[in-house]
Amino acid sequence: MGAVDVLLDGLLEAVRLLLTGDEDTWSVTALTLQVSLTATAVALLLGVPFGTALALGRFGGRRVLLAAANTGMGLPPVVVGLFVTVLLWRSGPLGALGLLYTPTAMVIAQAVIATPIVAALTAAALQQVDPGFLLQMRALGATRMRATAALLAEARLPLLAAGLAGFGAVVSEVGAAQMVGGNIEGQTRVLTTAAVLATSRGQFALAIAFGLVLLAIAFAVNLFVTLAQQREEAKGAGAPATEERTAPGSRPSGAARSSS
Amino acid sequence: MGISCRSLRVTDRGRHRLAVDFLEVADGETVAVLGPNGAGKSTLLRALAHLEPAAGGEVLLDGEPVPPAQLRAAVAAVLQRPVLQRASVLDNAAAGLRLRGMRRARARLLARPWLDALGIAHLADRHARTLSGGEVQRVAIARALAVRSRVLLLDEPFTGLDATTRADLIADLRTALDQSTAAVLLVTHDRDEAAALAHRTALLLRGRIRQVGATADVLDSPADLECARLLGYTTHLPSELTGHDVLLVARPERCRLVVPGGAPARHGVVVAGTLRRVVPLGGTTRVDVDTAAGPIAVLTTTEVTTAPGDPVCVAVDAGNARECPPRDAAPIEDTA
Amino acid sequence: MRMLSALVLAAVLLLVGCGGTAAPAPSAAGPSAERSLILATTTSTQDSGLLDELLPAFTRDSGWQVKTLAVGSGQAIELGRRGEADVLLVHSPAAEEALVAEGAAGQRRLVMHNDFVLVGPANDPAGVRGSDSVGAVAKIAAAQALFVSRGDDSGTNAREKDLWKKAGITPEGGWYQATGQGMGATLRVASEKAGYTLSDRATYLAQRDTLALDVLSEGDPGLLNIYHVIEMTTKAGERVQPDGALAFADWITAPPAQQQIGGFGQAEYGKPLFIPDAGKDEAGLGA
Repeated sequence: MGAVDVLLDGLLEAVRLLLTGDEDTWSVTALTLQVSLTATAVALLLGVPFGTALALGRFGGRRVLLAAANTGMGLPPVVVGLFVTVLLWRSGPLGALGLLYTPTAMVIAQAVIATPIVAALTAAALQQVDPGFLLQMRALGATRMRATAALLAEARLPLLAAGLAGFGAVVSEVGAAQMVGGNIEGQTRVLTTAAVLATSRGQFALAIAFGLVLLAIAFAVNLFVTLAQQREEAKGAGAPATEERTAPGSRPSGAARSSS
Repeated sequence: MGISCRSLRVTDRGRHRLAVDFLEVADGETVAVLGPNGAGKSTLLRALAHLEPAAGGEVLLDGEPVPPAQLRAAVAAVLQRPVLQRASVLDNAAAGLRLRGMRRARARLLARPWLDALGIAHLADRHARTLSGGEVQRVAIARALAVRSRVLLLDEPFTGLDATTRADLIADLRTALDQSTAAVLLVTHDRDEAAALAHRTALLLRGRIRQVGATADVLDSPADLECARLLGYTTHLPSELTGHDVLLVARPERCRLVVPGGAPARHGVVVAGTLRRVVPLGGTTRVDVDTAAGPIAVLTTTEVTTAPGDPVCVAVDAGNARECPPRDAAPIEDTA
Repeated sequence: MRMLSALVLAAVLLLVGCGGTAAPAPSAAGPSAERSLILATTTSTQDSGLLDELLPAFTRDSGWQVKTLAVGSGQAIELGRRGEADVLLVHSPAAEEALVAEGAAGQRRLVMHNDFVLVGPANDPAGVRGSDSVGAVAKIAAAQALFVSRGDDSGTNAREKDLWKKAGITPEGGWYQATGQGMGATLRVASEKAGYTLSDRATYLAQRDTLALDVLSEGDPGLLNIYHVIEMTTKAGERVQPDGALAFADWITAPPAQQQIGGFGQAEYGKPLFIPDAGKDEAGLGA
């Protein structure tokens, strides 16, 4: 079978599986979204406050932590999978929870992968905002909470990108998902692990089909975020900056000087 | 009653940046704090708004100390180089209210008239990033005014604006302030702005208030030499030149060049010197004259016929000269 | 923009929610499918598709959900040793016997067998066609022809090492390459590189269409591939579920399952991929 044949077959297979509502494909896709979206949500919940503290805080060791977060962005998923597996083993410290080989374990592992990414990118996003922003918000009477909320709203586009980066990292990884999930049919099989299994069984068209579905998901999420960003940019691009126009009923331009 | 501060001290690494014993701004009154760059004006403003920690002293509302949260609630400030949000002009104007807990729709409703007051109602839906410098300042001022706080603090709100824009904004701000009952503190380095907007003016030099009073009085009668320089009395006539027992100061534009031996000054002083250079500056001409006690400057609108190197006299009418108490013997020390 | 975001969010939640309900619970019949046991097994039982057919039936009959870890005999045995798995289905006799000798394992029963085959490129550069297994590997070493090994302590790997030992050869050099992966992946590497490898017949047959490999040596007793089921006890780990292990071991050695095993692959390949052997005397296998 030529390579092109395999790819074409894969494409056709992907369309066929999705359109006929093949239960296995849909359930694998649904689980992929379930696990990765949940993990991203957890990563945002933990990573945004942590990143905010890193960007705004004034405590000892802040820079060390910031460096650690940046390093954490490059955590190999396989390594995370290994650590989480050892924790969740029956003989491990959290073994009593019986979480190994469940979607929950996968969410945990993926959240560990995504959180440093979200935290580091949040810190970077906040540091890009005008340094006088927070002070000006406080100067208008905002409490620290409200001022920080305004700051996060101001950086909403880069924050969205941070979430996207976290999602992208976990939806496409296979090492951690395989190790902590076990790729168990109907329970912990996601698109990446299913693709690897199909490949090892020689079912190339199916493997490519899974790969294409994964690409479609990644593309859809990216499209959504990109559209949001472009829309924001368009609002800002508006009319070019004009010099001061006098309002209707213009006033004389001489200054009202009192005698000196 | 208003906002005031007592024994306010702000230090920076052991040095005093601000040492104000007492300053008060009453409700409905506008007080200008006039000083050169680095005098501590912004520091004073931030300390009053509790945006900067004070090493000592207190800020009072109606004569009573208040907890920081209450102080911040009573104050709205426009900081130097104002920062706007990534939103429309109207949403920015409403930001002050929203940051205090008001719902968006209501805040927008209440903020809209302030856009009118500052002449930018037509920009309501424009994105903040497309505005010119003057428009940004107007939005920032509208934002602070919309809060209708008891106290309004303005830190050099006309910085970076061209003359026309500045003039228009001063007029619009004056109109808006006249209708407000807030206690307003205006920080500036420009005495024309103080004259246009403030009932009273305080001169701040090197962290300390040297003079405070009704604006016209302060601008007209500097308390000492440094104040005089700040207020534009840059032509100094020491006693050895004039025969007066005290230093006299005058504004360069109020001095006249006279030919030696010409008509005597009317109840004024005349000093002799040598003309050093003539610099035409558009409508006026600056003339530098070397005297026995050093160089002095004159700004005149009449034609200058004397040539550099020739003897010339500088005359100052009595009404235009100000007596200046002896220079302080020791410079004021910035010690903690 | 808000409308669009809301719509997208709703769509995603809907999809995710449906996925949630489509997940496990194979059948409502039988006792509550909440109990789950961990089966550690080889890649060949999974890659051949046998487990996909057997396990749903087991869950239906016993109410036990099975979490299958197809990791290769070496790792499977290690997991059993640590008590991380409840029951093992493996084909590495020497390692199995060692495990049993340690005392933490329970019953070990014969389940089925198939055979290994030596496969290689059709043009057979080392000329092994027709030789017996030991002779074949000797010829491969002599010709320094490419040999792809599993290299992962699996049952297949153990048998391969056994063959080299019997031939008195220590394989090393550029011609001997180890993938460290399962049977399916190793076969594909061998196919792409036109090399020889040792594979269980079931996996080879299941993937034959995509491989450029022929069977070059088969049938001798040294290539017999025997599968046992081993139950673990709480001596290996306090969370082991011996009752689940027993249920599985009993089920897979009982006639209905054995019959299913015997029929597996019949339709596609003309002959069964595995021969059921429960209850037989091990010495008499083969032939």
